[in-house]
Amino acid sequence: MFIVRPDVTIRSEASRLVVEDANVSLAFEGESATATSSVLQHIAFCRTVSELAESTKLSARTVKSILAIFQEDNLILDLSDMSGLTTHDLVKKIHQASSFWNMHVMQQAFPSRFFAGEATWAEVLGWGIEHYFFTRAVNEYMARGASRTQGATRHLEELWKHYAEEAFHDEIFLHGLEGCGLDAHSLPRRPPLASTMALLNFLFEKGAESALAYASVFCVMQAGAQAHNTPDMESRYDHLRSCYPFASSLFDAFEKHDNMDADLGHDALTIEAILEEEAPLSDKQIRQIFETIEQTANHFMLHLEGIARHYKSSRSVTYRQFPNAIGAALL
Amino acid sequence: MQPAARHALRFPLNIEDEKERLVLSTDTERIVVDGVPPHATATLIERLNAGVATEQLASAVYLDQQHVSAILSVLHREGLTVDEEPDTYTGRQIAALLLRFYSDWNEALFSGSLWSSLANGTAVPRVVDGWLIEQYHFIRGANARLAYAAAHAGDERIRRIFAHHYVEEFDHHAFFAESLRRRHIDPEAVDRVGPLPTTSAVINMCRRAARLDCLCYAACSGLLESTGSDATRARAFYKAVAEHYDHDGSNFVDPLQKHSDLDEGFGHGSVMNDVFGPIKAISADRANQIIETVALFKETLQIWFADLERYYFVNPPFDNRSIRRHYRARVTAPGN
Repeated sequence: MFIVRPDVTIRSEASRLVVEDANVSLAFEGESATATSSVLQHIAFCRTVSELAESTKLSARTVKSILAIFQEDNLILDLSDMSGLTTHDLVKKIHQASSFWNMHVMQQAFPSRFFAGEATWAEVLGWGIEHYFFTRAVNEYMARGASRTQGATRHLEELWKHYAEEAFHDEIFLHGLEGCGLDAHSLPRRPPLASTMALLNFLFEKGAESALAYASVFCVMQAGAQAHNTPDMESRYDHLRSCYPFASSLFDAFEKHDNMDADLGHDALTIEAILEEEAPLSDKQIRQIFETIEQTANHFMLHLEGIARHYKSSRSVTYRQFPNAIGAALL
Repeated sequence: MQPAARHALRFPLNIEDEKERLVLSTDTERIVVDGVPPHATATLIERLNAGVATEQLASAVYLDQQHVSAILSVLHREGLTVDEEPDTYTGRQIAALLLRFYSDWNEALFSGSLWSSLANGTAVPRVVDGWLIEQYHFIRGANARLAYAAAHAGDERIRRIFAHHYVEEFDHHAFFAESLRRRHIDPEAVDRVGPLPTTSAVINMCRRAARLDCLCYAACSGLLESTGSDATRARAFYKAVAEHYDHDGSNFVDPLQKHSDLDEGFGHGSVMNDVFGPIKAISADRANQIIETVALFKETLQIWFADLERYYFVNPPFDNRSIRRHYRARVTAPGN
C-alpha cells in the first residue's frame, strides 16, 4: 500500500499538476502531469506497484519513478512489498513511517502556529496542562504495557526499564506549570480534556493488546524526540522561551525532560527488542505495526486539536470544574 | 477540632464572562450574577473549586470577609453552591441526578449540526453514509464495551445485569450492516477500513469507565440508552432521514427502525436505574468519580459527532475499494 500524507494537497492548474505540503511544492507538466495524476488517482486502492501499473496502464518503471519523487520529500509512504523484509530493513521502514506520521501531526494548524510562536497565552499553558496529564498517564498505559512476563527477559526488560524510568516524570511538568503561576495543588484533580483522554485510552488499549502494539505507539513520539534531540535543542527551547516568556518555566521542564530522555536512551526506538522477541513476524503483525503508528498520530492530532478548541480564555487555563454529585442532594 | 467549612460548587458551573458582568452557565441556564464584583467572584469560584476552606477564601481572593460572605450568599441563593458536601448518597439519588443530566445533555448532543442536518435534509449524502458507517462500528463495539464491563464488574448482581444487556445487544450490528448494504456499502470494506479515531474514542472511554468502577460504566451506558430509548423521537428522526435520503426506495432506514423497536422492547432505558436503585450508600468520592466519568463521556460524544460530520464532509464518498482512511486531509470539500 502507498499512503499520500493527508496534509499534502493536489491541484490542477491549467495543464500543470501541483503537489505540495507546507514545505515543498512539486509541479508537473505535459505527459508527466498526466501520468502523475493517474498514479495519484489510483493510489488509494492499490497495494503494490504492479497493481498500480495495471490500474494506470503505465509501466512499473514509470510508476516507481513517480513514487520515488514523492518519497524523497516524505510526501508518500511506501508500504508495499513488506513481506520478507530483514529486521534491519523493517526497522528502517518503521523509522520512515514514524517520521512521515510525525510530520503529518506537526503540519496541523495548531502545532504549526505553536512552533511559529503564534499560539496564545491560554493555548501554550493549556498545552502544558494537557501534556502534564499525558505524562502522568504513563502510570496507566506504560504500566499496562510493561505488565507482561511472557517472553525472553532480555527483550521484555526494555519495556520494564522504560516504564520504571518514566514513572514520575509528570512531576517535572507539574513543577514547570507551577513556575508559570498555576496551582500545582489543584491541577492534578482536574479532569483532562476528553480529547486528551481519547489519546490516553488509546495508549492504554495498545498497551493491553500486545507487546508489539505497545512498542509501536512510541515510534511517532520517538520520531519527534529524534527531531528535537539535536545540538540545537537548546536554541529550539530558547526560541520558544523568547516567543512565550510567560511559559519559560514550562519550557525549562520540557528541556530538562528531553535531556533526561536522551541520556536514558528513550529517543531510540524501543520496538527493536520486541521485533526480535516476536520474530519471525507474520504479514498481519507487520501491518499492525504500521497501522498502530498511524493511529497513534491520529490520536495525537485529536489531543492537540482539543487544546486549541478548549483553551481560549485565561479562565479556561485556571478553571476547569471538578465534576461532582452535589446536585443529587439538591433534587 | 472541627474540620474547616467548605462551600462546594454544584456541577456543572461554567464561567462564561467576567469583564463587565459575571455570566455563569450550567447545562441549561445562562446566569447573570449582578451585585458582585465580576472578576473577584469568578476567582472566588475558582478557589472554591480548588477546595479552599471558607475562612481562607478572603485572603485567596484579596477581599474582606464581609464581601466574601455577601458573594457566597448570592451563589447560595442562586442554587450554585451547597454549604457542605454530603458524605454519601443513595443509589436512587445518583440515578435521579444522572437522569437529569441525560435529559439536559441529550438536548445539547442531538441539537448539534450533525443530527439537525440529517433530520432536515441539509447533510450531504456522503455524510449520511458516514453516519451509518460509524454507527455500525459503534454498535459492533457493544462487544468491546458490554462484554468488557461484565468481565470487570466486581459486583455479581451488577455483572449479571451487564451480561443480560450484552446478550440482548451483541448481534445488533447486523441491522446496521443491512442498512449499509441497502446503500451499496459493503460492510466488509467498512470493517477493513476501520472506525474513525473518535468512534474508537467513544468505545475506549466506555472501557475506561468499566475498568474504573462498574457504576461508572452503568452511568455511561445509561446515557447511551437514554438516547436510544426515546422511541418516539427515534421514529420521527428515522422518518425524516428516509424522506430526505431514500430517493431510490432502498428502505435503508427500516433495519435501523427495527433495531430501535427491539431496544424499546428490551427496556434498556431502565438498566441504569436497575443498577443504581438498590444501592443504599455510595460515598461522595465514588459518586464524584461517576459524575466525572460520565461528563467526560458526554464530551467524548460531542467530539465524535463533530469529527464524524467533518471527516465525511471533507473526504470523498466511501468507496468499497478503500484500503484505509485519509484522516485530517487538507483538501477542500468535494462536490455534493
